[in-house]
Amino acid sequence: MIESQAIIDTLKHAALSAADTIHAPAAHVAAEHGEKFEFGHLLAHMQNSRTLELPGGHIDLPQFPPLHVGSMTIDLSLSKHVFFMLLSALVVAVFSIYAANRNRKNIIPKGIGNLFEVIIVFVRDEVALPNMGPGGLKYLPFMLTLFFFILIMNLMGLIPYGATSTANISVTAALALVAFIMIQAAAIREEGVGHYLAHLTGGVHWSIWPIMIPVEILGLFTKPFALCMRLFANMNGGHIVLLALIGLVLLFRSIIVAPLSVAFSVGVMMLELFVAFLQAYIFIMLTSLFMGFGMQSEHSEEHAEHS
Amino acid sequence: MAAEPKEPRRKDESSPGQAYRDAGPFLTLGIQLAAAVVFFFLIGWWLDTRMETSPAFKLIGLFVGFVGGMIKFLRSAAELSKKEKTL
Repeated sequence: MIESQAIIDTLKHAALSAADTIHAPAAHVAAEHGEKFEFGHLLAHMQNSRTLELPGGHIDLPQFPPLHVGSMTIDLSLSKHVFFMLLSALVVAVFSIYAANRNRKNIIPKGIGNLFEVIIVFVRDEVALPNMGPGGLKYLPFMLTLFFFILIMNLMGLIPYGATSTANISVTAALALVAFIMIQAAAIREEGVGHYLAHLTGGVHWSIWPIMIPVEILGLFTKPFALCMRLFANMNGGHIVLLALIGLVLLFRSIIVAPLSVAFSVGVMMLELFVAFLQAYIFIMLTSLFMGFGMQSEHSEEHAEHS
Repeated sequence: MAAEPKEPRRKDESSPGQAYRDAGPFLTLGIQLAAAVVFFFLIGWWLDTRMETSPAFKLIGLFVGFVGGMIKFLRSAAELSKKEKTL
């Protein structure tokens, strides 16, 4: 009974600190100074904040005054997740341009150029072509950009003092929005606006169109929604498990727990490394699969039967 | 200087993405069914608050959403299993 009360208190605190985490960059300091342990202090590490944690202290990220567009207030200030997202974009751009230049010079790719080629060939042969057919080659650059961007963002969180931008639902929602636009654009481009709208009726009798058209339109949104939640939950889940394992040491206030907890953390860390690759792969896999559904209309199915 | 694109893999050939390719069409069927029910329920709620007829439109919304979601669910399941057989 006492234990369950303690768990409820911990959860309550976690929820409270989640609510005002953006103003509480120094919350974790309390835990380090041997006061009463609160899981929420650890949780603050994985949430968005306006400061950047560094080995010697922390940097306050530059803040801009919010913009007012109509009744909306848009805050374009840098936060920890935005910073790491921009850093990931920069890393992807620099490395891929460097690899491309090197591969142009060398006939046999070496080093980083070779690494990029392996991944690019994999995405082309295992993701783009089987899901979208030969027409999918023109979407290959989009798939590759998405893959490298998500991969680097996932990996950023595994670096000490790093943060995972994809563990923020706004980031995954924006990625899913891009995927949504591409899925619809590919379908419209392949079969024209008329066929695209005809698909929305679901091929049922006209008398139940008022019911089926909203259901079909909802169906368009559920796919990117699932993509968004899947990436967000997978990236967050690993971090929560890690923090819980580390938190055991502080909770028991005993060094005896430490070896076990650290060993498990290392294991989970390995799993997270795998999940970082897997989730980037699954995201583009499903995006190309859904794009493929829209592209495989009547004429492309006929084509498949002849071959 | 990359290798030439391979032929798209056949259905029976195993590849890392094959499991996702097979499961992909079914992944969001459940969410879609739930979303349809919730969507029509919310429309019913909105109509109820406007016309003060609670709970008539909520119940109608639930029923319509369930019927619509089920039609979509069963149709896409039937379509996909038909496609599975021809391949």
